[in-house]
This record gives sequence, structure tokens and C-alpha cells, in this order.
Amino acid sequence: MTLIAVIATALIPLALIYVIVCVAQPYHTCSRCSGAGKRKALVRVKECTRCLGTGLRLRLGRQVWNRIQHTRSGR
Amino acid sequence: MHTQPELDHEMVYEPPPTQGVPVDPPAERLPVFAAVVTDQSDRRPIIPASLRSREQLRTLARWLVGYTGHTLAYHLTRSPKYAAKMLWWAPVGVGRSVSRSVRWAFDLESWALRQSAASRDDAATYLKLSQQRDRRVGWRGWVLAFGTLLVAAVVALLVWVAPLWLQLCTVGVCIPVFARLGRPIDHPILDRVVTQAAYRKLTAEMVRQALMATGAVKDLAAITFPKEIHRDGPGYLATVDLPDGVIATDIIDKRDRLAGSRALRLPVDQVWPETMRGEHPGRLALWIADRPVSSMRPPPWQLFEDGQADYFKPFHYGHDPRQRPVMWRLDERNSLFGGVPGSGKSLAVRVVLLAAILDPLVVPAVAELKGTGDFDAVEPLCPKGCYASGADEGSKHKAMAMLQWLLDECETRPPLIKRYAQQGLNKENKVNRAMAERDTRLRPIVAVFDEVQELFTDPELGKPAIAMATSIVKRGRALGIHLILATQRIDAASIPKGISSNVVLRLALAVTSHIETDLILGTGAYKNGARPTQFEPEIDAGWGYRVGMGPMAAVRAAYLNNEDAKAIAARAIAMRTSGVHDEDDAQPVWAYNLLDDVRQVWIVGEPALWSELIVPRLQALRPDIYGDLTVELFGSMMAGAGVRTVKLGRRIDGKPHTRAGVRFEELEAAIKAKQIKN
Repeated sequence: MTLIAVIATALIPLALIYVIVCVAQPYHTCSRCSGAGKRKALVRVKECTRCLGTGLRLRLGRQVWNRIQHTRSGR
Repeated sequence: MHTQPELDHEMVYEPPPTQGVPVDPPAERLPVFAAVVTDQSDRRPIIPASLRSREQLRTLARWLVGYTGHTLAYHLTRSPKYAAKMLWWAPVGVGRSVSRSVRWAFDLESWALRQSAASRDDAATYLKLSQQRDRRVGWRGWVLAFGTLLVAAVVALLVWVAPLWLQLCTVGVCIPVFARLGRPIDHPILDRVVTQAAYRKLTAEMVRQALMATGAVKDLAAITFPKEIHRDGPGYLATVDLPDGVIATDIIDKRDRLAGSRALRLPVDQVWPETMRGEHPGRLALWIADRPVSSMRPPPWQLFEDGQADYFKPFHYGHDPRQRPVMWRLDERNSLFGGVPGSGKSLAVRVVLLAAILDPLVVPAVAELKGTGDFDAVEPLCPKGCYASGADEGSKHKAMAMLQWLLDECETRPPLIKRYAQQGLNKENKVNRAMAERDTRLRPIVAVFDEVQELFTDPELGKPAIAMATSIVKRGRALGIHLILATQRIDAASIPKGISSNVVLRLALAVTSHIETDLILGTGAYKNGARPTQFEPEIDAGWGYRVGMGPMAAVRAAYLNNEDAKAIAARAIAMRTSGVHDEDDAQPVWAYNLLDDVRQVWIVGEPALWSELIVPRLQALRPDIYGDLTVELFGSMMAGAGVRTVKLGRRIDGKPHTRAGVRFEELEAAIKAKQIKN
């Protein structure tokens, strides 16, 4: 019981911070190419397929938020 | 088999078509050099007219001083209120400037762009935008930091070091500046000094839509504007060229649809479509008033304060919807006023009559058969017997006597006019100002017959009255006699054809239908756009459609109440007694006429005198009037005045002589008859 309460009280500020980060800094560096935008394949250097060469990835929270917004506005 | 056809009865020789000159004339030549260099008509003056004359300059300076003074006094009285407002809004202004600097320094205006890029998951754009933000914030942050430090230092210096006057000055400058930044955009700190009329700007699009809404115009693009839409009086004027097949009167007919169209949505009273004088019939002048015209304050009557009128020249009568002055004329015409009760007939007639008496030469005569005394102010100016007011039989008989007198004038005036015209006072055989000044017997007469239907429809007096009035209307025009007829019953009996067709100036005030409109203004007036039916009695009192002078137009008589009328009549009396106009002719209007003069020069005790003895005596009495009187002319003038000249025998040195002459008793009888009539 107490454990759940402690976890909850710790999670709320953490969630808030994550929300703020999702707004102010919606992108993080791509973990696959670590922000370079390209990766070494077997023979030659190829564009990172995950971040499409930008080196940036939208945060998960922001992705969820965007999806919700798009659904709500019917697009 | 023959190759060449021969002409037989079924074949006709057809000559080859001949080529004539082209129907279209050759294109116009460009203006030649001489025409270009000599034409200066469109050059505007370098120094505006208001700065050229000393008088205008003085007026301008006076206005400027007055305006500045008023503005200063206005704001000074409100300064405590302004101070309170400024103290209230200045902190808001400080907050706003701080937040603005922060937003600038951290490039917060591109915040929305970055968020939008993130929402679209457009990483490339986001990257560009955040790089731009980084570049900006790099130096702006420093500027903000140093700026803040500087401001803090200045504030600290002001608070602890600066002298009191500098502190006060800084506060005095900063508070208004911050208040200006802090106030909401629709809450100005200073109050408005002059109220300007708010009006909607008329655009070409609105005019086009409104014209389309009438249904008369089918093609929007075919409506063209020969002139730009501009302010004209208290409203906008659009000059429109209508498409083929549509003329201005088509639109005037649909004035209500024009006013009700979605583009305008105005009371009918604000929408004034008019034909344009001197232009083709397809050109329409559409005037849109700022406010309903009936609610506008009419401009004052030009002759109200001072000034003289002239019977022979136009004078101010009233104004049109655009508040432009409208004139009225008396010479060589007669006037007819018609309208339902309450349409302002008597008021309109009175304006004309009051203007007329402001010419010291004019002799007024009034028969008002309603009995309300609308013309009482003019009574002291009317000659004896030439004023009647009442609905009774006596007034009608007085009016009949007046008509008789006017008819007599029509008899006596022509020989005089002929003589003066021969003397060269006028090129035509008509009364002009020179004649009227020379001879009191040719003074212009303005005779008003209000509610004339009472007289014309009288079972006994009607017929002779109509006959006399018709005769006066036809003949009096050139003799300086102006008849003003006003009626509230508009039918063929009240306005007989013989009268209505000879009256030039006609005014239809509020009437009930197109039949009355056409009866007053002439057949076809309603079709040509006259709509006196739109006027409402009492509310639109004085408004009417007028024909006979310029294009048919709606005009409103200047408003003069009973007090104004009395004041104007007093001025007219003063003009006549003090001899403002003709100092050499101080005698009252009717003080001398031919009969009285003959009586004056009569040799006392003689029962009869030869004309040839009277004429030199008359010439000695008034050389300017009787200067070239002949015995024959004297005879005809006496006959006109109602005294026969008879053959008189005398014995001179034993020889009998017979000459034309006048008997004393006949002269006396004629003078007495005239006095009774007057």
C-alpha cells in the first residue's frame, strides 16, 4: 500500500516534467544513428532508415499526443 | 446551246455593287500642338484659393485660433481624469514592454512554427527552425542582459543620485509613454474633441450590386463609372453609365428596391437616384446620404438675416436633398402649389412671398381663403383692399375684387410698357427693373391666392373667377404680375386646364397618387420620375417636386415660422419707408398714379380741360415720368384708367376750337371708384 503511494507521488512530477519536455524539446537524437543521420551498412554508408537522415526522432509522448490530436480533428 | 445567256423577261440585269465611303468616320486626329499648348483649363492654382485673399486668410486664421483654443481648454479641464487613466495603464505598459523584450530575446515568435513542425513530425523543418532560434538567441540574449543591467543602473542613479527635477521629468515622460503602451487599443487616454459624423463609404461594388438588385440591369460588368465616387454635401455621389437599354428613370422608378438591396440596406430617404441635366438619359446620378435627409438640419434661408431680393432675378427658396440651395424666380412666370393638407403648402408659398417683399419695389397682395392667418405678417405691406384672410363669403368677394384689380392692371400696364420700351428702357415689351423703378404704376405685383379651390369651385363666383385668373395668368406674365395659386384639392375643377397649362413654375408637395402628380406637374411627370407620393404630410412638410426651373427635382422650402415671417416683414417695411432702395422715390407705393396727378395739375374751378393743356402740366410735375407724353398717349392711358376723353369745344378769340379733353366730374368719379376698389 505504502509502496504504491510512494511510487504514485514520485510518478506525478516525473510525468509533468516529461510533458514539458515533450512540448519544449519534442525531438531527441535518433538512437539508431546517434544523430548522424547515416549508418554504416555492410559495404557502404547508408541513410538511417529510422530518422530518414535527419538524425532526430519525435519523442514517444509527442507521437502519442500528435496521434490523439489528428484523430480528434478527423485527419 | 449558247454559252452567253441572253436577257429575256425572266432575267434581270443586276448592276455590280458600288463601293461607297465607309460608314464609320476616320479615326479622330490627335490634338495638334497648338491645342495642347494653349489649353490650360485643367491646371490647378499653385496657391490655394483660401490663401490668396486677405479676407479668406483672416477667416482661416480666426478658425485656426478658435479651434486650437477650444482643443486646449477641452483637454485642460479633463487633465485630472487623464492623469488617473495614465497612472492606471502605465504599470500595464511596463509589464508589456518587459514581456515584449523577453519574447524578442528568446525568439518566442517562432515558437508556434516549431510546435507546428513537431505536430506534423516534420523533423527537417524543425531542425532548421531550431537552428535559426539558436542563432538569434545567441546575440539577443546578450543584448537583453546588458540592457537590463543598463536600465537597472539608470533607475538606481535616478533613485539615489539624481536631483528632484530630473526625477520628476523622467516620471513625466515615462508615465505617458508606458500608459500609451499599456492602454487597450480601443481605450484612448485623450477624449475626442470634435465629433465627426460616421458614415459608410460608398464603393463601386456596392453601387453595382444595388443596381443589379433593381432587376433593371442584367449585366454587372456593363455598369461603368465615368467619374470617381466622391463626397458631395452630406453624402456620396456616384455617377453611373447604365448598360444598353436601361435609362436613369428605370432606376428612379425602383428607388425602393435600390434602397432595400443587400449592398445598401438603407431607408429610402437616404437613397436619391436622379437624372443628370445635360447628359445622356442613360447616365444616373446616385446620391447616398449619410443620414436620412428628413432628419438633417436644413441650411438656413439665405435672406433670413439680411439682404434684398430682386423680383427680376432668382432668389433662394430652399434646398434639395443634397442640401444645395434651390432658387425660385418670379419674373415672367406664375406659380402653382399643390398638396394635401399638412404638406406644407402655406409654408412654401410664404417663403416665396417673403422673399418677394424683400424687393422694395414689389407690391404684395394676399387672398388666403382658409382663415388661419398664415400671411398675417405681410398684411401691413399690402395696399388697401389687397389683403383677405378668412373662409367666409366676404373674403371671397375681396378675392374677387383683387382679381378684378389685377385684370385692370393688365389693361393699364401695356401702353406704359410700350412707351418705356420705346424710350429704350427694355429691348422687349416687358416690365423690367428700370421701368419699375421709373414708374410706380409698373411696380411688380405678387398676388397669392391660397386655397384657391374655395374660389374656383364656388357655385356663383367660380366661373368668373376662373375666367379672370386665366386671363391674368396669360397676360400678367410680361406685365410684372406674378400670380401664386395654392390648392389642396387637386382635380380638374380646382386647377382648370386654362390655368395649369399656362403656369410655368409648379410644385407638387405631398400628394396621394400619380393622378394628382400629373395634374399639378403636367402629364408625364410621374413617369419621368416625380414621386411626391413618397412624402408624408407633417413629417416631410415643405418637400415637393418642382418643374419649370432647371430639371425636375425634389426641393424643400426653407423653414420660416410666424416669428421669422414677422421679422422679415418688418425688414421689408423698413426698406420701403427708409428708402434703402430708391431714395428719390420716398412716397408710398400707390401715392401717385395718373388720375391723382391729373387731379393735382387741374386748374381749379374748370369743369373740363383739354388734354393738350393737361399734358405740359403733367410734364412739369414729373418730367422723368411724363417727359415725352403725347396727347394721344395721354388719351389712351386715361382710357385705361377708366376716364374717357371727350371732344370739348372752346371759343378762342371768337373762333371755335374743338379738342380732346377730360371732364372733371368723370375724373373725380374714376378716382373715387378706384379708392373703393382698393
